[in-house]
Amino acid sequence: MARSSSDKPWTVGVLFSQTGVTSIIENSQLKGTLLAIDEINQAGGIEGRDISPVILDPASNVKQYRIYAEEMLADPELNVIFGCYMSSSRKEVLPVIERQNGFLFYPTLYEGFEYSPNVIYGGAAPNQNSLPLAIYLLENFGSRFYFVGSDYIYPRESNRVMRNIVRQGGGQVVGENYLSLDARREDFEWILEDIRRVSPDVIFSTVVGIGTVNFYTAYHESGGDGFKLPIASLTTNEAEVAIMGRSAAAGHITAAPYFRNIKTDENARFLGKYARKFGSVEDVTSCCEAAYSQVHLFANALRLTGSTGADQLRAVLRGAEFEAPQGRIKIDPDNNHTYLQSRIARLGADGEYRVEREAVRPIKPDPYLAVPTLNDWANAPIGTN
Amino acid sequence: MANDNIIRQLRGLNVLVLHPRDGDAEELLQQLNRIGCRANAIWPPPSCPSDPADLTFIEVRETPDEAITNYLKLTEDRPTLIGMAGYESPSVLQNLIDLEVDSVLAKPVRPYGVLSSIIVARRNWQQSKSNEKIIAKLKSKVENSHKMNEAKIVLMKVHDINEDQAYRAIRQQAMKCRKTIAEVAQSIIDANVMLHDCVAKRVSDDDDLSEGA
Repeated sequence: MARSSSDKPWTVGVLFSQTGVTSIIENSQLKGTLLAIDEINQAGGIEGRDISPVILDPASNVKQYRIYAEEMLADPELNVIFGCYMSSSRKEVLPVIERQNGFLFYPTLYEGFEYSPNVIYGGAAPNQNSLPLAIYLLENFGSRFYFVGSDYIYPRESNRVMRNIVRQGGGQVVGENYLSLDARREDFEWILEDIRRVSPDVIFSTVVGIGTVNFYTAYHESGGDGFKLPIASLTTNEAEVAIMGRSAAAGHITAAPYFRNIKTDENARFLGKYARKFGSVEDVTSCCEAAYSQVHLFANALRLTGSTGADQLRAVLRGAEFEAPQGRIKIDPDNNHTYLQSRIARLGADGEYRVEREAVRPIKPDPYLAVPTLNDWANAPIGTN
Repeated sequence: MANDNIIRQLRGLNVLVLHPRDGDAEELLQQLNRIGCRANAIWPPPSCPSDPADLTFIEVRETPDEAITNYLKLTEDRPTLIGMAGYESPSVLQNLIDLEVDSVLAKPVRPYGVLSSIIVARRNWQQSKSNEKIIAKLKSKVENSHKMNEAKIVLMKVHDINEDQAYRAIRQQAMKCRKTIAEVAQSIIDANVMLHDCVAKRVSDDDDLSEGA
């Protein structure tokens, strides 16, 4: 690059856990972020200036997110942070961001009921993933649901939404249990026993992080078969599947805006570059794709504003669109969440997701949908693959 | 369960914002829009209420706003009220009390807190509505039992019967005339008063006569 050395880079914060219970997924978000930054810098940066990430590892420790966010924003050159996976970590960072009028890009699905003018929400809200998943499960597997979750805010709120939809569809929740985030394989034993006793039609899991690998593996080892009684999830992803192995993963179901093997030109380009940079695409996930897209949305905004000020960025980001690997996405000017694709995929015996159903166009985010009704899905026609 | 209904019914609420069109009103309307309520802002407050709102946000300052007070007076069914206050000075606080708001939204308005203030206000409003109903019911119960006692005493005196017989007589009469027990009791009391008045009058007439003689 022909560039004078006096060009100061744009400094941004990157706050994903590289160690600890949620490190599998957050590492994939970190890589998506870094890939996008690389792309932008290789294309000449923004106004001739590179984007330079300050990367800190909160080690899956919720309090550490706040401390690091404060440290980052203490730098007068740094006003934008990409980061957070668990809602509890976002809630820690939020007051810091708002107080300093900083800006957070949050590339993760979550339970909704939040709006901050200083955050762009890049993951799915329940109306974009829970609702389609519930309908798909009710139609294909039956009405008796068993809930298993990690014990924090997202699983509980997510299950509240799911319970409402299941009841409306004439189904029932026949079991609901929560385990701590660091649950080991053997900690799931009593739940698996209970599942065998109750014999539900489908298991809905909001277990996150390394617990996911442990849960699916324990299920498989206890004789569970995803093709007979699948575990459905909004978070289980390619990176976790790669770790648990194809036999433990086979037959299970995930709802997400993006799956690694979807066929779009943008996805092919994205995966090609990802493989060149990291050697493999094994850990590419929907949250990784969201992180990647959010960096590009930021860069496009920065080209227009020439400033990382929150007020300037917000003004141009509202309504901004991007041709993402998942398809075209758009930031909803009403609520800072994102119009996203909605897909439901099932893992084959080869450990690959196959999309079984997808919305024909991006779904408008509705983060304040307290009581989703089955009819809401009528707004988003579905195509079956 | 009642709480669950409050959340369930959020999106069906008709919301009215009586606040000058400034940044606070704008921020509130945007958040109401995100939440999914049907929100309408009118300023100055209309002289007569048109569409009845379920929930009304009103500006509360150190002096009572006449237009708002009038508007509320003219509204038949009191809506759930949320006061929007920028100060916590005693005069503003007094107005919050006088306007009988169900909860408060602090200014400057931020997206956080709007939902909570709506939920708390709706809970308070529902509670006071249901309290009013219960009080009205209890009041009429107490009144009816007073009437019944009085009517029983009348019958007991006139017919020289016991309380149980008096009660059964009233009940039979009610069934025969297809009236409520309370209505029959009231008729007996009224009749007795009339009889009593007539006698008392005649006596006093007699007195006048004797005095004149």
